[in-house]
Amino acid sequence: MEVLSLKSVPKEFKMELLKSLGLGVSEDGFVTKEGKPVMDEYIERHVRFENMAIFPGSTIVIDDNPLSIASYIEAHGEIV
Amino acid sequence: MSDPLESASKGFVEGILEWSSEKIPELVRRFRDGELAFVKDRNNIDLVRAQKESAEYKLLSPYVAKGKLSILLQMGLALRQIENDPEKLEDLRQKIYGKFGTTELRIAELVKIGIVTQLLTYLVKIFRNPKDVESRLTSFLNQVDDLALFIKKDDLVEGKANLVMLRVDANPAHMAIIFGTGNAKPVVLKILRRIKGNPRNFLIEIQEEGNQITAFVFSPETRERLAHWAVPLTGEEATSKR
Repeated sequence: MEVLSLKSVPKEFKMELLKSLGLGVSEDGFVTKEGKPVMDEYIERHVRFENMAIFPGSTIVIDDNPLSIASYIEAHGEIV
Repeated sequence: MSDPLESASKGFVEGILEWSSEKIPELVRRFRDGELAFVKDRNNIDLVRAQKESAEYKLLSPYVAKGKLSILLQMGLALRQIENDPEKLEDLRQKIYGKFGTTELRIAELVKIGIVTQLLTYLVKIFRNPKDVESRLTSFLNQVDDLALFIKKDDLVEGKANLVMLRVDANPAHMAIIFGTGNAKPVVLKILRRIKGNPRNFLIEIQEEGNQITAFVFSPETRERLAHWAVPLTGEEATSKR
């Protein structure tokens, strides 16, 4: 699997990308799915748009931090 | 101008210059096919991968089950890696605490300062059989609040010495670790002298680094096994300064 960094991606592009993936963004900046904030299942916190990581499969959205990334890899296998 | 799809195919990419809506269907297609993931930036994946590829993780990981302890090993090593960045360090500490709690944060911090690796080294020498080592290490980590004692300068020497000996006897690893920093160092040394004076002849290994002292206390029954390996631990009291 390849990984695309969204660090320098314009906000509008990211919003459009999210929409194409069936996701959205709430007014207070959280990633949403079907209108509800998406929870990072590993740290049990809502995922902020500015700090999101999205993995394929069942479109897993997590916060981009070492604990969540390590937990994802532990559960799903190596990313790259 | 660089193309995001072409760049992504080379792995990570930052600073993309060309982002147009026409690119999105192809990105989505590759995502749906399981070929592509999106992250904020590469730092966290790089950090995690570096820990998993480290010699220390490869040494430790065969002795812990996949899951929480394996994650805590990685997080402890990650904490060490980012220790010069106080903001990132505190953020990760808070996330470990928020996810798991105080005990698990303590395990990660013991990994960070190298204690768990030292502990494993001793357990391998004492028990040899990998299954025994794994069960003892796991048992120790699960009881870390009781078996890794941070000594404070006001702690009572006799009470702590008795507590340490009691806990060494009562756990399957047959050992405990005590720490002290700054003003607590002399208290640790007094506690160790007290334990050393016990007729059962506990085995003690002391390590000093800067203003911190760490001591591994082993049950008398481990003496013979450690002696078999002819390591410095066979002395009454071995001291090393790193």
